[in-house]
Formats: sequence, structure tokens, C-alpha cells
Amino acid sequence: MATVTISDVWKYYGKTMAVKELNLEIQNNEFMCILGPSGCGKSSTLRMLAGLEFISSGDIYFDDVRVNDLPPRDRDIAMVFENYALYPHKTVYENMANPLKLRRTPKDEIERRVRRAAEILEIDPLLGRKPVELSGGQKQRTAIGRAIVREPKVFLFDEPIAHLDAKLRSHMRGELKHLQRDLETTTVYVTHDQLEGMSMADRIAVMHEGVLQQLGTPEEIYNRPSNEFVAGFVGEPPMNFLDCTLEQTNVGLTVVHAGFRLSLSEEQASLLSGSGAEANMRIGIRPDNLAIEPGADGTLDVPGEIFVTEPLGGDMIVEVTIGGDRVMVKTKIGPMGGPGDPCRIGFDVDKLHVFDINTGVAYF
Amino acid sequence: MANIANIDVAGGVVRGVRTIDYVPEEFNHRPPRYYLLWLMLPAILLLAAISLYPLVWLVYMTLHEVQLAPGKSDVWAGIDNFSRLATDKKFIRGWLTLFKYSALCLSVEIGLGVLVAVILNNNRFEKILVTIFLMPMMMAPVVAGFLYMFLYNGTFGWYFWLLQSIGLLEGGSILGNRFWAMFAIVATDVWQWTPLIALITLAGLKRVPQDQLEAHMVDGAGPFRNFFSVALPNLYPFLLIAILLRFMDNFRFIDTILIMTGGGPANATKILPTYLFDVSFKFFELGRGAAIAFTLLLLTILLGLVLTKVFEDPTRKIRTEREH
Repeated sequence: MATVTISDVWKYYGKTMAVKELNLEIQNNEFMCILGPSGCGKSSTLRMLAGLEFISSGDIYFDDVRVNDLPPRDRDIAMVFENYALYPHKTVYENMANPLKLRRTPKDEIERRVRRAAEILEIDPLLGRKPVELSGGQKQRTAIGRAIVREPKVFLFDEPIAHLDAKLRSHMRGELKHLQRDLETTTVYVTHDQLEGMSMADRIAVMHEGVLQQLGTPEEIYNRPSNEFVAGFVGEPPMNFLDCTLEQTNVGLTVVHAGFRLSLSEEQASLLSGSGAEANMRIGIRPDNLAIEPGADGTLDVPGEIFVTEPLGGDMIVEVTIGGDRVMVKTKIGPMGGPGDPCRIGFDVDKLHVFDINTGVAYF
Repeated sequence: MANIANIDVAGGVVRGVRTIDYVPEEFNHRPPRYYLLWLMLPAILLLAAISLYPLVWLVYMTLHEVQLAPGKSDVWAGIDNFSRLATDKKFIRGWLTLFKYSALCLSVEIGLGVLVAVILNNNRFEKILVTIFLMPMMMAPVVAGFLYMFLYNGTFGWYFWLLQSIGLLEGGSILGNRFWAMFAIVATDVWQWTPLIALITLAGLKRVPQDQLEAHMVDGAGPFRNFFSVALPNLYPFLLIAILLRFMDNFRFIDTILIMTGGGPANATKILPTYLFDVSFKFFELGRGAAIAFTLLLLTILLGLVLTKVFEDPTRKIRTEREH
């Protein structure tokens, strides 16, 4: 139960910059996800919050207390590590009791809290076991148990479910989200998996090369990415990017590509003209916002040629070549034809994104 | 053969799962490979020649009164050599002195060695300091003995002068003093062999999982707690090797003591191996010497086994328990 304020924080390892001028305010009881590819500075940020790394410059506050110089034990945090970091010579019970024991909690209180946490996480039959006797999922639950036995100000999660198999991971996403709502504790969750961020977080901070790219709700991040990096990083399969030119025609502003021409809506056109967009720019469109029909004589606008189809059970991803570029289309599964067959593609122009070709900044 | 079983999974029990009793041996039967025996034979013979043969001779000698004069044959003595040891006061005192010497050496060396390793670990000058620290270890024990004999010397020894100047010593000599002599040889051993323990511990410290240390810090531990609760348990296997090596060395290295005191003064530093040396090579009672050596060997093996048990890596212990 605390707000966390990261103010102008920089982190250097020697001469390598890991985090650049980060400003972030995490609300009380908020589930904040820091999302980014490896090496983007998200773990460094979390470790600075935990007190495991020095802050090169800037300040971190928990509520109104500046914690820069506090060691981890005085910050009142709980952290779940990527490799669980359980103590191999201690049982599950002792592992979970450790934070309480180190804070001199009375024995019966420890017993009560550990049992309660174990019940929540459904690991009460495992309390007598040692970590080597646990599966990955059980280890991970133990690590979470160790974090929730206390009532810390802040939970810090460092890719806690990255090493689980896909099925367990999707199960744990729901569990963790539920748990966080239940415990009502400010949470910072670091991950490189956009799906975890999208499905669990109240707000997402996307980082890249040490710089905060965008801060917003999952919905904002997905629908209004602030730049090309965010647009390409979030969403599965990733957004299609195509280099195009802008032309003023009698039907308004038109996006011209070797394979197609798209007329922009008036609203979109006004956003572009006001911002000094150049003639060359890059458009982005999600695979979900493209429609596809097999055969050369359909009703959709753009002719294409199927490169490959990837059926996924209920849906399928079709890779299509349009005017020399390749795009992915997501559609319901159905007869589609094989590689080399013609097809027609339709663009949902309302869902189009336009980026500056040099800076990658989104116009809309 | 197929069975029906209930299987525990996270969050409940799955009932009525078909399982198969799988017996690996039956499926992977492989004929014995006798040629392996022939391949190993040279090594076995060599080992037998250099270690088994002397052992057999040792046992033979313990049961005989070995004659040194040419032409005379050894006299069967039964267990006389052993039964005489029971009443041999020097033998018993030798054991006690050995225990005292070994315990002193080990405790100081382990304590100092671990401390040095912790200081060296992640030190800016780690590499160069390790090189410097290793120097005493490179020295032959005889040389170390001579070096310390000179340092303790009553006329020109620097340590002697130092101890005298700070008032701890009132004339006389260090190695000639019944109280100081033991500490003097322990100090020599500590000086020479602490680096070995520090080196082994340092290697162990490098393998202490960083994330466990960090988790413990987040859990609320300070640096001392962190060392004793996380680092030390992870160091156990390394400390075991260090202790085993040093304790066996203490039971067999007598060069330094022979040089410095020869077991004196008044048998104050006459640990069992030096007594064994006296019996065998000064009094030439080879049968009795062999009996002493045999008890020494037995106890070394026994203590080695006990130590391995005590210091067994806790995580490995579980793993082996589970395999059974």
C-alpha cells in the first residue's frame, strides 16, 4: 500500500547506459507492468526499486519517503525472482517463513500466515518438501508465497512465470491477477512477454533501450501506440509495417503503395496535415484489421498472392505478398488455397496507423 | 502391465489414470562387456603394485617382530604389537597431542581462510592479492619449518623479539617452551596452509547463487545474516574438501615439526606421526611402528567418513534420498 514515484532516474553500468531519465508514478494498489525486450532496462529499474542496484542519478520515493539509500530490508518490499531463488536447504515452509523470521515475528503468527498463504496458493500439502522435490510451477508458487506472507508496501515481480510451460503460464496469469486484486498491494511486474502485460496490468510502461516509450492502459498501448516500436512489440502476430507515400488527390489524402492506394478519412487527413508529415511515411496495420478472400475475383480492394498459410486451429495466419511487401492477415480458418494462389485483401482504414519514416513517431 | 492409479497434480488429484509398470532393465538388456575388464587390468595391476602391496606388507609387519639383521626371519607376534600399544603412554599422549594440534590448526585455518576469501571475493585487487596469498603454499614444508625456526630464534628471531617487546615472553625461547612450542608450530602450519583454504573457499563463494543472496536481502537480512544463512550452507561442500585435505595433511606431514622441535620440548609437540617416526626409524621397531601406522590409517579413514557425512551438501542429500 504505497505509491511509488520514480523521478529522473538514470542507471549506468560503467559507461553503458541501462536506464535513461525515467519518470514513472505508480498509483496505490496499481498493477504496473514494465514491458520491453531483453536489455531494455526494465530489470534494472525493478532492481533499483528493490534496492539491489545503486541509482546512478535521480530519486525513488515510496509514498513521500526517499528510499535511494535504504537497503532492501528497510524498504518493506517483497520480490519474486525469475529463477525463484528459493533456499535449497530449507523446506517450503521454512522458505516462506523466512521473511517473517528475519523480522522477528512470533512463532504462532508465522505459522498462521504461512498456512494462510499456502492455502491461497494451494501448496499446503507441499510445506514439508524441499525445493528440489518441487516442479517448476510449485517452486514458483512457493516463491510467490514467500512474497505474500508479509504485507509489504510493494510487490516486485521479475519475470516470475517466464520459465513455466505455456499452459501453466496462461493459468498463472489469471491467478496472479486475481491474487493482486485480492491482496490490494501496489505491484510492479517486469516482463518481456507482451501477453502478460496486456492481460494482467492496470497500466503498462513500455521500455526500449533504457527509454520509456509509452505509458498507458493496455487498451491505449494496443490501440494508440505512440511509436513504431510499441506498435510492433505489442500484439501477436505483430503489426504489419509498409513504406508508402502520401498523395493529395481529388478524394482527399491518399496512401500510395506499389500494391494499393488507400484514401484516408478526413479526420486522419487533418491529423496528418497538421503535423507536417512528409510525403514518405510508414503505415502500420494489425493482422486482425485486414480481411482476406481466396481467389482473384473477390469483392475486396487489393490483389495479393498467398505466400504461406499457418492454420492455428480456429484461426489462421495467412502471409500475403502485396506489391513486393509481405503482410500477415489473421482470419477465421477456412479454405484459402496454397502458396502462389491469388487472393484479395481488404484494409480497415479506420484502424490504420501512420508513423514517421525517420523517427518512428506515430501520427495516429 | 497396465494399472489404474490416482495421480497428484497441482491443485488436486486426477483419478483413474492408466499407468504402466516400466522396468528399464527388461527393455534395455545389454550383454555384459567383459573386454572392459581387460582394458582396466593394467591400471588395476599398477594400482595394486604401488598401493595394495605396501598395505599388505604393513599388515604383515603389524603381526610380526620384524628382524633387520640379514638372514634372520621375522618372528610371528600375533596381536602383541597392538596390545602393547594399549599400555604405551607415549602412544596415547601422541594421539592427544595430534588431536590438539589438528584441532587448533583446522579451526584457525578455516576461520581465517573463510575470512580472507570473503575479503578477497570481488575485491578490486583480487587477482594480484590471490597470487601473493598463494606464495606460502608453494613453499616446501621443510623450508617453511626452517624459516619459522629462524623467526622464532632466541638470538636473532624477529618474532621472538616482537613477542618479547610487547611483554608476552620473558626470555627463554619459543620452541623450547612447553606452552609456546605447540602454538609456534600451529602458527607455521596456519601461515603455510590458510591460503589453500582461502583459495578453495573463494572458488566456493563464486558459486553462491546471487539470486538467493538477493532474495534473502529482500526478505530482510543484513550482510552478516546473509553470509551465515545463505553463503555458508552453499559453501559446505567446499569446506568439506578443504577440511578433509588439511586434516589428512595434519596426520601425515611431520617435516615442519621434525625440523622445528623434533617433538620436543618434553614431548609437547610429539604428535603421533612423529612418535611413529621415532619408533620405526630411531628405535627400528618396525612391527610396533607398523601397528601405530595402522591405527593412524584406520582413524584417518574413519574420520574422513564421518566428516563427509557431517558436511554433506544438504541439497544433494535430498536428491540421493529421492533416488532410492
